[in-house]
Amino acid sequence: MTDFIDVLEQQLVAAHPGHGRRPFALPWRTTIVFAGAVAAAVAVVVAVLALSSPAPQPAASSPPTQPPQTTPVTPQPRVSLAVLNGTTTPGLARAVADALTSKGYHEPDLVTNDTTNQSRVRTTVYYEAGHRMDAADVASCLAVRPDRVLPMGVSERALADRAEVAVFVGADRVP
Amino acid sequence: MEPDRDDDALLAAAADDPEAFAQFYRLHVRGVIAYFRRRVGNAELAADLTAETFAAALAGRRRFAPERGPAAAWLYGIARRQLVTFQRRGHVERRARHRLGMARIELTDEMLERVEAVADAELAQVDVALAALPDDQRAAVQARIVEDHDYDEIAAAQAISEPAARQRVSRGLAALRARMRSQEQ
Repeated sequence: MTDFIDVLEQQLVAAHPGHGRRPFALPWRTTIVFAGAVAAAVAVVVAVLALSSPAPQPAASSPPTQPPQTTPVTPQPRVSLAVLNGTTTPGLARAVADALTSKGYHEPDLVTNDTTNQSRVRTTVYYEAGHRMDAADVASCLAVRPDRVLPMGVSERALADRAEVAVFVGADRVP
Repeated sequence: MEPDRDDDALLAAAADDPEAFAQFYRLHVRGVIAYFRRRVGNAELAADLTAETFAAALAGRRRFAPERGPAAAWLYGIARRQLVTFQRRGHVERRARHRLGMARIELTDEMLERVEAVADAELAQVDVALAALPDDQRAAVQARIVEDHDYDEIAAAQAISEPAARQRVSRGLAALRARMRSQEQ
């Protein structure tokens, strides 16, 4: 639900100087998401080992919703997505969009360059009010830290063309 | 009834712990919205003033000193100053939010309706809970929170010592919160 109280709380927590300093002292809702992610990753490892089939990638680092290659991907909830490349490295937004679709998300509504800032350092996931958990799921799929999940600001909203969740890709995703 | 030491402890812990500040915020945000809503009569302004108040509280959290009064009184002191500044200048300060890099929250009609609903519910609860307080506590809470009197003024008005005035406000706030929690259940 769209709620001023929730949005303000997110802003205040993000603005707190201690935010992100202690990665294990996470808000409980975030903790639940990541506990689930860890549990799902463990389940994938167990499944791969049980089948004795070589995993194409190190399973322990696989995101929670990525199944073994022989099974279909898990459909993700419908949420309007935008992916913007905030670097000068071409193709980063497309790569992130592909990573999301490979994990069950639909094709993002917008895949483009962030024309206002091509020097973003860290990938950040922004969300509209009411889509905080959707953004946390997207961040989890992309291995983006929870402190880089933030409420949508005016400039991000304008660039993301009113997407509910927008990924602004930073240099930390340059291969 | 004992003073609400949990509240003070939360704010003290909030100096370094974002989650403690978030808990303190959740404990008081509805009351602060209602405080402003009653005084400015406008949900959008009330939300804006609330945001600046908590930003100022976050920025100044290390200045809270429990020996000078309860955390709630400290917070409402900030709210009161925001209100006075707004009334004097005709616009809501953004200094604390700017300092913290907080973007202005664009309020949709749905969000404004929710703010209105929160304020209405909170004001109804406060009125009932305040009326149920003992006379001395109600007078102390009103003098401190509503009228922003200093503790020495409250002490003089009620013919008690200043530490007793602080204790009366603290106990009144704790009782008020306890009564409001029981109304929610």
